Amino acid sequence: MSDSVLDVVFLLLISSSETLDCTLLTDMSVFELSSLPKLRRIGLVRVNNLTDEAIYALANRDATLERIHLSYCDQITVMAIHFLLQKLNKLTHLSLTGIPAFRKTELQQFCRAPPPVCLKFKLHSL
Amino acid sequence: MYRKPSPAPSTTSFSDNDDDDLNKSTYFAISDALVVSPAQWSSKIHQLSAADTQDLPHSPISRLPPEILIHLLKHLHSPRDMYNCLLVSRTWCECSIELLWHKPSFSKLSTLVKMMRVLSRGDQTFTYARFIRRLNFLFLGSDLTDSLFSRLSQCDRLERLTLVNCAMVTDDALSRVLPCCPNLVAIDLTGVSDTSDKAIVGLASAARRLQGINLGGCKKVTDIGVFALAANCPLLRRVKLSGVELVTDGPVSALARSCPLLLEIDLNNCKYITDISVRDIWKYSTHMREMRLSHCVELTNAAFPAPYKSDTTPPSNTPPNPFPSLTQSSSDQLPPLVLSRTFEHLRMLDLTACALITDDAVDGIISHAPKIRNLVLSKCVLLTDTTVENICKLGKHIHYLHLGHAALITDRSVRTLARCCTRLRYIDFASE
Repeated sequence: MSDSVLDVVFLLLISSSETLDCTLLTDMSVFELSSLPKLRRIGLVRVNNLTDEAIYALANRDATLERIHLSYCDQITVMAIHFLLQKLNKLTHLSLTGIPAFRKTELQQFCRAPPPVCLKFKLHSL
Repeated sequence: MYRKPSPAPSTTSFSDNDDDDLNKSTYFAISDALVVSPAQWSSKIHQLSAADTQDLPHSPISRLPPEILIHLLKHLHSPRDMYNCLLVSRTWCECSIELLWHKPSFSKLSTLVKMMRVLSRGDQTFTYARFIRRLNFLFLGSDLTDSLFSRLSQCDRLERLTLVNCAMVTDDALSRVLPCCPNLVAIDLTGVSDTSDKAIVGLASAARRLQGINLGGCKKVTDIGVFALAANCPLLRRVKLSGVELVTDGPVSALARSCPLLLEIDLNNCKYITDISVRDIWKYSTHMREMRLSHCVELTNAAFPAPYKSDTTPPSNTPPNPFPSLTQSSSDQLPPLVLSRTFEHLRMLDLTACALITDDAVDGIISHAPKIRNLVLSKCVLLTDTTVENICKLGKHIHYLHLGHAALITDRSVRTLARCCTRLRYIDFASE
């Protein structure tokens, strides 16, 4: 899978020290969700109990996923994401903001600037 | 992906209805409702006398009835092709001219200016303004000025008008032009921030056949404008009031009662909306397909259908209240909304940030609307695993689910969800 297709977004942000109510969801939920055959997008921002096991579960499924949001899932490592990227060839967007393992400067070259705020209008909605 | 036809298909629009099947073939569109007859030449000079036609050779195609020729010409989509057709003969011109003009498109300001110049000429071959049925100014945005827009008052057969992002058009110009278009079926004023009640009242009084209106971001519009729509436009199907912050319950209830065909209502960010008007939508809008109530923060469980379960008696350890009518607030007085009907058509419900909602509301919603496809419950912080288990009842119908910031949800219910709702395409559990 070529890197040019993948939009990787991670920012050099200092992660907020105040964690509000964390979700109770763990890797187990992601294992179960990985079995969904038509899943295209999954949002897991700040589900910070997730470990690499969840990532491997997402990777070992039919390659339908297009967008994965993992920002602030602090325990995720580079190796797991590397594995994910090898397997999921339809992935177009991956959010990894604030994850400590990705704050290395040599990885920053692959990321893009955060998108400007854009307004979406529904045409032909009348 | 073939979508079922709309439960309330448009029977009054004269122009092509492209609301529904996006994949519908444009080649042999059966429901192509654009009714065109051979156009009338506008001046006597252009009309041939009977004597001139007698010596013309009669080719086979010249014997084709005009309606058939028009039907054939409708399959041409390039304006350049249509232009070439109208130069073939007088008959072909009469049959194709309206097809060329009914939906003029322009991506550049200069093209629009040229068109306006043609419309204001005294010696037009046809009265072109009367052919125009659809106009889309999205690509011009702020380049569309009042002086250009005002020329549209001649387009009395205009049916669909899109003014998205045309922020320079003023309320005065709208008030002058819109009442001249009694055939308007759909209008999009998203981003036309100067729009106020004056323009909407003027629009409503003329466009009695209006089916769709989008007032996204038109912050100046108040209850007065929306009441006018409810009172005058009973055929309304799609009403988008996202960001029309001043709107309150009154006109929304009026819309629900007066517009039985209402399919889509968008009240995102209308913070004054309470349970009262939302209940009326559930009571009266039997065809409802999409309800957007994001950030209608006043909403409680009373806004939604009561779940099918026996009434629970109040706990016996609460002392009887000797002054019940004095102490109850208005929202406590609302009884549970008991509905006997299901909402087979409801596909989309957005309750983002309606933080007072509990599991009971979701229970009631799902038991009455079993085919929801897109459900947004982000920031509904009181929801628990019970809600997720109720969502499982949607089975293969649910495709898009947002449960962000519902911190009480655990793995147990997510596991059940993953096994029951196998057609999920999009799921969000973001937390913060």
